[in-house]
Amino acid sequence: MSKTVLIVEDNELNMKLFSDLLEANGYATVQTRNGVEAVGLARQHRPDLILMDIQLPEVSGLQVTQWLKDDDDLRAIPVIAITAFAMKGDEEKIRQGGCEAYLSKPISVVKFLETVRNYLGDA
Amino acid sequence: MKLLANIGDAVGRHVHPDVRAEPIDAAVHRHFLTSRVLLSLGSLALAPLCLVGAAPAAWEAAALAWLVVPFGAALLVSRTGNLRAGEALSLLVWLGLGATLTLGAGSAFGLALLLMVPVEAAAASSAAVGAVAIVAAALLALGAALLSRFGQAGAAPGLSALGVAALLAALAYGGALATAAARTAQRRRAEERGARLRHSDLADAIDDVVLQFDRSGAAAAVGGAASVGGASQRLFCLPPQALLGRGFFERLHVADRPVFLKLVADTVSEGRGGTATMRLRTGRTLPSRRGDFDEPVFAVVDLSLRRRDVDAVDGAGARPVALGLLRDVSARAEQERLAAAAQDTQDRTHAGRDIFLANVSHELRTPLNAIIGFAEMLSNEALVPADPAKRRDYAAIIHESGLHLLAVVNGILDASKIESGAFDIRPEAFGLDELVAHCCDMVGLKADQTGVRLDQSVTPGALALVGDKRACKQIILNLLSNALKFTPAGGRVAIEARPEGNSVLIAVSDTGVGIAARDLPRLGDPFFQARANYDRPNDGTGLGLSVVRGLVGLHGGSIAIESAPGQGTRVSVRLPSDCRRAAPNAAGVTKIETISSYSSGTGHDGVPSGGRMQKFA
Repeated sequence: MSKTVLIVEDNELNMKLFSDLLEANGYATVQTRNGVEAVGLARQHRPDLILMDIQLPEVSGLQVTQWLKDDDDLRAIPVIAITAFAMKGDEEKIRQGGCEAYLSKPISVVKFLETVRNYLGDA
Repeated sequence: MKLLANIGDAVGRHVHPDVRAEPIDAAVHRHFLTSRVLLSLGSLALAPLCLVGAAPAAWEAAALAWLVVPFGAALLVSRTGNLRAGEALSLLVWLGLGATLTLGAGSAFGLALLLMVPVEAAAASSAAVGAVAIVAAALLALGAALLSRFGQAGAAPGLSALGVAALLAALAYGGALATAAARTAQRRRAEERGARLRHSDLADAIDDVVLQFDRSGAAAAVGGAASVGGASQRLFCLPPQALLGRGFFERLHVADRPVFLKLVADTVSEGRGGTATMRLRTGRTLPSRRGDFDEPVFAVVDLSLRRRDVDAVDGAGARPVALGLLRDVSARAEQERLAAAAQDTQDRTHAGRDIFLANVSHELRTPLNAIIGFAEMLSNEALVPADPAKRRDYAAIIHESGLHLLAVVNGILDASKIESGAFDIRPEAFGLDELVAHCCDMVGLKADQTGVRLDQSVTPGALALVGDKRACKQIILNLLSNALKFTPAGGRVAIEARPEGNSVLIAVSDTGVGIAARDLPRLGDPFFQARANYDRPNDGTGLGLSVVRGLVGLHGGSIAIESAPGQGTRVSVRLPSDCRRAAPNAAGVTKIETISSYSSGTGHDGVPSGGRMQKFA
């Protein structure tokens, strides 16, 4: 059974980029544009990895990560934060928020896949 | 004693107003009035004695009449304040009384009364008047002596030459004493007046007010009201009386009164002086911004107090008071306020720029992520999809993202151009109704995607406008995309355009998230996005409204925003029908009128009957 990645990303084109990349590499994806739905989807699909955009409508990716890390069942799922904020101190803030890894947009496709493989191994 | 004090108080009220401010002169006047009034009253009390027994002789009546004259002197001094005339009249009484008794009754007692003349002259304020009166008394005594020697017997008392000589000598001696006493008194008064003038000159010259406070906080002038006057009038536009008594306390800002009372109490009872900064209501006012009334202007003052023991007026021994130096530090306080405000503005600008940079970074990186990511996939042999349709799809995404990136860059450039004043308005005539329809077409797709209904209400044909078409298009597009951005699915955005006198109204209303009252005043500041924070719930650089404000300003138009959180927002832009006739405002100067209330119905209240409603989504 292939490993599943939950993608939380509100920009349609970037969602397509991430899902196409992951699916082309043999991973299954679950997609949502909404942070509030993310926790429910994580509980339902038990993904092996979560890609989390930090700038989301309604609730921020940091808040969603907090919810996930507060949940005993979901805490073990690694979260990779992806953000288009690349200001000083952002990475620190995101790591403090409980995310296992951090990628800034624009991503390097190769580095992106490497990071995913780091957590999932080959599909 | 109490009765006398009461009479003194009653008389004191009749002292001429000119001398009331000078404590010593006032005391002299008061004593003059009291003694003369008492003298006249006492004489009138004697009148019934004359009436007992035989009918009064003519000289008795005349003597009584003379004794009423001091009352007239008192009246004269009270009315005119001319003490010298009063004293002259009063001296005349003794001369007249002496002459009446001597010549009328033939009594030597009349001559003895003449000795009252130097006594009174000694107390007189004018040495000259006293001297004249003493000479007159001497002549009168001499005349009476001559009359008794050579005139009819009985008309004057018999006097020996020795008696006359003794009387004259006594008068001369009394006169010399009186003159000396008057001179001394005069010199002392001049000295005191000079000292007081020097004190008030000094108090006038320095920009501080010196006051003395008792335990209750009541203020008194240290060197007469005049010593408070100059600085008080100059600094606070207040007459000196306004600060005395309870005046100072009542003019203190209510919030500062406890501090003042504590400072006074500490100083008076514990001798521990101190300084406090407080606000004092001045005599100046400014028209209020809040309504149709004048607001008082408060001066910021430093009050330094230290203890001093003063002799009580009633002789009850020394009592401690607080001697206060009042210094106006409004200028310093204003400078500090301005510096703090400048610092605050700078901080806010910096914070705004940080948020702006973060937003710009986000706006640029989001499309760049798609462009770079898909381009990398297409160029990497291991990643490129085998399906040609998919490759074309990727290329199309790169193209679309590139266009979006271009739009973002253009927006930033426009905002920067408007801010630096480099944006040129090129006026041309065009139909606003077509432009509105065109803009609605452009954002229709986005409205469809987000599930927001887009309504149009435009007066057809009547919206000819002379202005910069590109700028107007951007105004409308920015307002519409702002409204769509902040309106959740199922909401409604409505645009309305109609002529309004010499101008054209373009109003965009939505049922979106609205804007909190605290954010309204900062709307349209470049880089400011209401509720902007790290988590940034909405897209945008925070430049849309700032660009609109700049463009509307260049056309000489105005902007009004009504909004309430959770209810929605309505932005009304008024553009002059011909922007060439309106005076353009410099970019960014256009003030945005904001109203923190909104009902989503208002968007359609003003729709003219000829308006057409067009449903887009």
